Amino acid sequence: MKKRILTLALALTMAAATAMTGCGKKDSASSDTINIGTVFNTTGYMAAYEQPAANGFQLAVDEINEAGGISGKKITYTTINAQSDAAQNASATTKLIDVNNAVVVAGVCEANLAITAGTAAQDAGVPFVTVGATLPDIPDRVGDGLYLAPYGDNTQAYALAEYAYNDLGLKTAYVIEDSTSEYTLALSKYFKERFKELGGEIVLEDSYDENGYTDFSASISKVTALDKKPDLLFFSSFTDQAPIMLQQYRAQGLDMPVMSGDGFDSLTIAEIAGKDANNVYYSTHVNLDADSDVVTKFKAAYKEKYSTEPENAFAALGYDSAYLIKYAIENYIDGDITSDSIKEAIGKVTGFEGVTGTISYENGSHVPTKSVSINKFENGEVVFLKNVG
Amino acid sequence: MKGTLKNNSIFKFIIVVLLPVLAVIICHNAMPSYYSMMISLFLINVILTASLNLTNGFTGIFNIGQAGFMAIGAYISSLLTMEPNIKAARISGLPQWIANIHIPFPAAIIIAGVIAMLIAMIIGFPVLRARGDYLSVITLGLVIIIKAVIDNNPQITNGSKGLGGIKGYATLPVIFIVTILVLFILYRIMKSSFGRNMIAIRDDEPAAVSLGINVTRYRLLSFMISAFFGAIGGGLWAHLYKSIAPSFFYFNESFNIVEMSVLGGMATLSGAIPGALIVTFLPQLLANLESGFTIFGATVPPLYGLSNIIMSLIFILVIIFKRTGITGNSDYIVNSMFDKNTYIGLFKKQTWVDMGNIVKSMFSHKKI
Repeated sequence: MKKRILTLALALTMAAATAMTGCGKKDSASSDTINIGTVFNTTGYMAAYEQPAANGFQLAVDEINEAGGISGKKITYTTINAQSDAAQNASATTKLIDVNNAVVVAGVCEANLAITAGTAAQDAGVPFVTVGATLPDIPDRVGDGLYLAPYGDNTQAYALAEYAYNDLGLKTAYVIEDSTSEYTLALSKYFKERFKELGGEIVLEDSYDENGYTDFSASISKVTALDKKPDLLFFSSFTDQAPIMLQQYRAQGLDMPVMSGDGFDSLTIAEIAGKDANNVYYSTHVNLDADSDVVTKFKAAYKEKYSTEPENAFAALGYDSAYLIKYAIENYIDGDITSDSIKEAIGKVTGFEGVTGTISYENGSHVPTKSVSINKFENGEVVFLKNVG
Repeated sequence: MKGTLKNNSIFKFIIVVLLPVLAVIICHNAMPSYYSMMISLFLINVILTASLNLTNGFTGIFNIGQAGFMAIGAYISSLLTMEPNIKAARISGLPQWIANIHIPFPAAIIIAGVIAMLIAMIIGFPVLRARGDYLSVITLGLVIIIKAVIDNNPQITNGSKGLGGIKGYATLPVIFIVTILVLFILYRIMKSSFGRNMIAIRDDEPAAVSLGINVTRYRLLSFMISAFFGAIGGGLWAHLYKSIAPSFFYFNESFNIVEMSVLGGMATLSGAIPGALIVTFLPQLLANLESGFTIFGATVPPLYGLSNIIMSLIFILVIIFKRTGITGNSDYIVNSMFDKNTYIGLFKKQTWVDMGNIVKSMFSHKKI
């Protein structure tokens, strides 16, 4: 009997699966709505960034629809969780375009996944706005339909190097990078480049090559063996590693300033690492403590909808990406709203004022010129220091 | 025996031949490309799972490193088929002779398969001395090593940046034909004395040894064949999604393949089909629930991770109630697919008479 029930359950599952693949019906796109789709990896290793980003995007879509839509057309919005899996990023993008008739797709905050998803959109001729992937050469590798909403890694790494050398007066640095991600490699590469240009010295470089790496003792002993300790530790890594790294390095008496990019933009780090997270500087996309109208309005709306403050800058990036699409369509499209016209329109955007700064795509670049915020963790809180650029 | 529905050639033909072929034709021609992409992924998963069953189910090597061979297949075949100028532009420091290679897709995936097979042979000698859990851990280590090698040789593989600009040769018809070929080859292997020897090793190793079966040789060969088809699967994957990175072929992918294999049934080739079907399509269905929905006027908020929970529940239920997987020990699907009697039977009068009786008896049962 048990066996029969199980067989029946499985047969039903399979039938459902077949039905889903078999009966895909194309929704006819009516002309009074605009279909927008997003792919966010709200589970898996990108969840810490992309859940807030997905929330931010959803919030913006709701606001836009309440205010009457884009050029008087309501947004029909679909979002898919691609579970931080490459194949699912590609198929989710294709599904949004083919099944939900999305004219523009946004989402994804990790470089390699953004390339996979972006390639699927490029093949279908649909523009793709990556909400949080900061690798500056993604557009070159995918094609003319891909735009970045955040700044490129070169911008943030340069800003960090300048802040370290000029503002903090640090002259020597130690750099450790996660060699498995394109983002972390680019971040440390550009940091080293600028830091050396300014006259700084990289005294030691190291790398680790696994996402789940937890024991940094070998790397740490190399630092403690140095005759003269570096002024600065530069960790090019993601949120999951950060607290472990901080605790292990600090435990060996290495209490000099630590620096990283927007991968460190998560209060979880300070919550887990406690006082070890003091003296940690990182660059990110927005100063959420700023008094400007747009930031306060965004924070209030986010709090009201999700009963929590925006978790990190990616929430703001998601929010901005939706408004960026609206801005492009309303200001740069005269005729029909199609994928082609949106693709062109986004490229023409200049002076779009978002929560994360002003977005302009200059000289045909698909990476916007934007300012970088430098923040610091202090006693479990985020302290804003400076806007660069 | 003769007159049952399951054994009727017409039924077999419709279920295992006609329906799949129709599904592929319809999805390729009349459906949005999302469906052909999903079916392509499903078929690739069938290849990966069936090849894994060869080691895990037949020779008792519990291999959890199939993603490593997938990575080898994906990288080698992509490097062989990419346009020389694109390759040179994307990968800085690529040796000229590699950049100049440009060969057709079928040759490329076969070469990739052969290289994976050779690698499996080289590592197989020391590795296959270990047994049980130890062997599994070593195969897992293999995934880490292969990823580290790809990550740390950017002058050939472009490192963790991954490779883009791969040509989309792997269309649904191509993948479908390759899948059928792979299943057919594996089926022939299983029906040969070679296959029976492998099963003998799994079921009772000392007995097999006493009958003069060279255990090490068979284990090594099955490991190599499995690596070959794993690499073919990886090659197809790369040419389907057109962009690859080392992190795509890591633990997640490896465990995914094992999951399909265990769910469907490790001891049969047929197990690959329901296993891959569930793991490929069910998360897609459940994803709709995750983003929140409205039911009878009540709004359900987004439940991220719901599909992972349901998938693990199904997995646990299958492990508890049907440890041998969905297909158990019955290789019905693949057997019916390649058994010539399925096709000959269609032209026999007796089959149609039986079918008529079966249909009649079904209706008469209902009346009572």
